[in-house]
Amino acid sequence: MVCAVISLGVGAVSIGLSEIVGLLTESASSTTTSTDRSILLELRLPRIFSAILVGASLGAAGVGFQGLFRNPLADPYVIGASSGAGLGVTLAVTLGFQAGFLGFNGIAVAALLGSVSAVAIVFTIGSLSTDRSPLSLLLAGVALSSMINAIVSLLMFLNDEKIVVILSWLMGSLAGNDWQAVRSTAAASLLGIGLLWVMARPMDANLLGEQAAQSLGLDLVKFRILVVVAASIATSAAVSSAGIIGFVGLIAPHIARYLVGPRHLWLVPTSSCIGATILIVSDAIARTVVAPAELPVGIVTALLGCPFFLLLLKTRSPIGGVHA
Amino acid sequence: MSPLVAQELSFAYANQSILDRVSLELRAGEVLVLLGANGAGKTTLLQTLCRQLRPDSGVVLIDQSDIRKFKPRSLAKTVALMPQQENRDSQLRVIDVVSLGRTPHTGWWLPLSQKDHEIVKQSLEITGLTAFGDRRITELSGGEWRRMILARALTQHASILLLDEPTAGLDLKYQLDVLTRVQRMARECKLTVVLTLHDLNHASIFGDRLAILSDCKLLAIGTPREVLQPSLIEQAFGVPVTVIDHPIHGTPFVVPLYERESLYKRGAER
Repeated sequence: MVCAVISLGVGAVSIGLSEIVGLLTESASSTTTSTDRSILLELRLPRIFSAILVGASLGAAGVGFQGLFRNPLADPYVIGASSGAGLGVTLAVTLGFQAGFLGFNGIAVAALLGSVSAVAIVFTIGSLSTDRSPLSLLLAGVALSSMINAIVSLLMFLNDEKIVVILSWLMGSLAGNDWQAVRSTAAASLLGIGLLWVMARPMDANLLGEQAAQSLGLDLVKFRILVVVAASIATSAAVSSAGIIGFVGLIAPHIARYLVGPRHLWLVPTSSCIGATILIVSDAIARTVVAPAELPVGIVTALLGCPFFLLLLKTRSPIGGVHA
Repeated sequence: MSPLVAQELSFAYANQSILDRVSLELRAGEVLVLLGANGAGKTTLLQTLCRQLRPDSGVVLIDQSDIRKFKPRSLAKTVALMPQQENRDSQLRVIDVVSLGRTPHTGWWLPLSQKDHEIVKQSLEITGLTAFGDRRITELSGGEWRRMILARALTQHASILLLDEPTAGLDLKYQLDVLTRVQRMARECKLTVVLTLHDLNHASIFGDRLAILSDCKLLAIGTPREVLQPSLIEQAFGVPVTVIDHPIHGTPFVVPLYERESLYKRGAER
């Protein structure tokens, strides 16, 4: 909350704390201009809500994938969900796909389809390997991500007139998210996070291994499908709103585990909050360091996230509870 | 009515036969001990009895119903498995893991009731883990970890308990403690228990019936006195033995006949 309020004030145009409070509480002081009001209410506020939803979705999706694969390295980016969603978005942009579904716009639907398909392929390939270990699944994800990224590059090469639009998705940015975009992201984001939260206890059982989960009455096939779908919905909500943003889905679950332990009942909401905070802060930095221009937020999350993550690894090993 | 029946179970891993037409019929309140050399198929048999593995042929019946027709939760309410190994690198606490044993009853979404918490507490007491509730499972010794898995299986309150080497890694006190409690629970609560052991003399004392697996087949099944025959044991384990009466219990007591040197020679010949 504090980060969100501070973030409202920073950017190409600085707005003081008292003006922000005045505007938010509808008691605008005489110093508040209509431009400030417009910047705050029509640009920054929806952008910050988008950052909250995108960060929370990535944080929850990271917990889902790490829990499902029982691997602390799994995150939407590594496992192929983000790349799949990115391919979906690229195809939607190049083919001009517009068909919405249940209130989601065409881009969001394409991101969801791409994300679910990529994770389903990873799971199928990983399951067909002889040892069926989570590591095989992860390697399958890394391989598929590389292939998808190559296809995305090819599509950009063949459609150079749309390269700027596609690149803005792939580099990750929260710019241009209005209230309509927030509403569209909110539905998918809350659905994905909610589904993952509901799966908290099955994910706890899955931490003990497939045999244990099965002997406790867990239907593994349904469980995997539900987690993949839920985490993919959350990922695609994030990708369709802000493009591909790496690292948040990886580090938010680790920090959350450090704070609240490995039980998913606490892990899912905590990781969501941490993901949201990371993205608010990263977006504020992205808007200010080269103002009036902006950095893609994905670059900031990676630049900030990596040293922080390495510091966490050094101070606490093994992290959390998928090892963790 | 027999609570657990296995009919003509066959199973192979990559064309290598592990079980070949194995049949068993268990009674309520009975403890059946599975014996056999390493790799004889004991764990595979237990896994087919709880549907963790699908046999290539044959069928498992629980209360005369085909096990394949059970929904996962209703199967977990009826059959609890204590596996030999599972993922141990989770940072979950002992109480979290043991509490998961109640999920077949509560479902995956509802919180545990007061009664469920009582059952968890009892299981921790039975396995001597009351003081370990808040400990991370990565901090447990091998024996403590096995007791925790047993506690989780007991928490399931299933009428059929399948225990894969429940005494492995336990010191003598806990070996006897676990086996005595399992035997008592089977009698008092009419539980059907199938467990695997390597100690033939523990099997003799605590098993109502014993079954020996050898060369993928059920070599013998019956009372300890019927099964613990020197010829059968030598056939299954490749070790000559003599069987005397236990001085206190009067049960068959197996004494291996070997000298260290001859054992080494035998190993070298193989």
